[in-house]
Amino acid sequence: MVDWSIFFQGLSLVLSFKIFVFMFIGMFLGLIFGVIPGLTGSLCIAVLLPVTFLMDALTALAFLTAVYTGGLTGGGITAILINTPGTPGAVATAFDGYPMTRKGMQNEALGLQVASSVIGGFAGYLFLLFLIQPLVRIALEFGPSEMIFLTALMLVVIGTLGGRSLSRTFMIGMFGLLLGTIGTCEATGLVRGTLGLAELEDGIPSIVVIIGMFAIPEMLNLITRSFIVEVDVETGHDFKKLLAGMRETLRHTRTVIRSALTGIGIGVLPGIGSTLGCLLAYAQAQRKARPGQCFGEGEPEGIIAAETANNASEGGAMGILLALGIPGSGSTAILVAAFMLHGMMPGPRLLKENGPLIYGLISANIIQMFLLIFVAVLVAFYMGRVIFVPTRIIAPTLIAVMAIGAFSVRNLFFDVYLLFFFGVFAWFLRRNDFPIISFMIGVILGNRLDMEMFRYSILFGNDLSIFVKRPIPAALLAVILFTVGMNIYRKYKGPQKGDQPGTAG
Amino acid sequence: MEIELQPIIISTLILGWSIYYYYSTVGSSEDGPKSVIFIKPLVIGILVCFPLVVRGAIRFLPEDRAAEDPQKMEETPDRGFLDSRRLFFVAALAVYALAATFLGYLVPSILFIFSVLYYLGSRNLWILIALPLGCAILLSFVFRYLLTVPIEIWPSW
Repeated sequence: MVDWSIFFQGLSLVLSFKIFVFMFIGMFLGLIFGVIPGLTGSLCIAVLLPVTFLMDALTALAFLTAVYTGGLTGGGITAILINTPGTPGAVATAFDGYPMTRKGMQNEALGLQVASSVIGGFAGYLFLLFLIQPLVRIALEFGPSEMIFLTALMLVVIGTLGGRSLSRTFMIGMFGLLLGTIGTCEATGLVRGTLGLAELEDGIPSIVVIIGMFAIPEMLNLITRSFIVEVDVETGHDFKKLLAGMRETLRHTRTVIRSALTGIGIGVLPGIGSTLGCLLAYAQAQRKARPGQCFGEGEPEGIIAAETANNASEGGAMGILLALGIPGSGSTAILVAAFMLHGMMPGPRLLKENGPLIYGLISANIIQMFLLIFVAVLVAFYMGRVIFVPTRIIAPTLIAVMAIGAFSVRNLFFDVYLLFFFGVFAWFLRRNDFPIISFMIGVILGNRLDMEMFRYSILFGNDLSIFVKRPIPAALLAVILFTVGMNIYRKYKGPQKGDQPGTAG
Repeated sequence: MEIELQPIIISTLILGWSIYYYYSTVGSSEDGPKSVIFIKPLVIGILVCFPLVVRGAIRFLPEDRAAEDPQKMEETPDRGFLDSRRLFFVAALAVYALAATFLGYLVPSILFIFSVLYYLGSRNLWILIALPLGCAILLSFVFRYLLTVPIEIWPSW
């Protein structure tokens, strides 16, 4: 299952002082962004991406994944202390975390949260370590039809599980795919859709689009508020109580294992992996509650379930990214950009061509979980000073960083225009419930699928039946049709008994 | 009946551009038809989705809900894109990007950060001066000299 010789090669690459320092810095910054509601780990990765130019690929990826890990964990800290999840994936952490804070047990709650995050993340990356080879083997069987149907399935999942409009999800996903094909057609050499702009002949730089679409809408939302958070933060730090909370986590082995498996399984779903994972794990823990356990009133097992699943989902999302090259979340979409920045494209061939780097990255992420214990405690204790930064300072300074970052991608000021244009466009999309992640998946995969279709047409001509004669596309098509059919059926049948608006995802 | 205008406008723009993209590619040369193998089904897909998006943007409300809605609108403080802060910010982004092309990165960055800070209510002289200067100079130094990004710091003329 694991090619140990390549794994140890990768591990030896990671064991350097430089990578440890960058992982520490990345995790710290990710946590800071994670604890500030409105700023997310994804935004932090987007802002820091250009800074990784001069780093070697492994250092850059270890640094950015450390930001990702920090961002996921940081969201839970504010969920506990101020009842405001810093990231969507921490929504279930607040259910019991904040009641614990109100009882004066914030230190224990933080201990539970940190330990569960570490265990969840560790489990997620162990899964990745052992299953990356089988996943890649399956992915290598994927031809044009498999990739097209898999992309379509991703869009269906985003639309249905996210409780969004399927037609908007599909429309924006297909628009993203179209934009991804702009530029010189690799098969025919024809320049398409550039409006005569030479800067677009190599296509739309997806790195710039992704950065803009994540960061600018956040800024446009932030500037209408003076401060991100306007509540008091519980202080009164007690390290012993925090350690007691950590120890408490280890006593709930079943919940930890169940939630980790849920997180990993759900993490592979695009768009909503961590959020749905933590909600499902919380619901499972609630169902299995013993007499005397009061979920929603400060039950430690609620925090354990939510945080374990939240961080375990990272392994699932990374698995899909590394094996298939399809980003399942905003953060992994930006990690695709990081791979591209260093001349690589995630997908099944990546492990074959850069085995030590991929295993090095997985090892780095496992090591990060140990670092996380110290950095998360540090940030949790001092977060009160972080979240009161006025938005008028955050917004323009981050824009200045992103502008120079966008320029750095191709050394063109034109890319700064693209950054702002797609950023403002994304704000409208978000506001009107067009899922941005669908658009990004489209922009990232557009060119690749275009080439796959060209290959397909050379091999099979106009015979579309080949699409469904192979078992994987046929199965994917069946799942798509079933899901869409169910969605339409539910819509026309009307809301079910017990369904509540806004709980679809 | 309630109509959401923005999704209709967005989907119309997407559809319009997609059709333009298809026809401009297919008719551009003899390689055109070969270059739209993937584009054609996508444009058809967008065409199919368009009426569904429009249909979804038109909601037929029951009478009691329709009566509640105007009140709801009044309670909502967020004025969307027409919020003066958002309008200013977007205008500032446009001017910033344009100015950076001609004046280099440093001066437009200082002015951009200063103007946004001021417009959003900062009156602390220390922050108004030190933050734009410090931020722009630090970023210029890091990217130009440490990361060796060939960005024009000063006006090229």
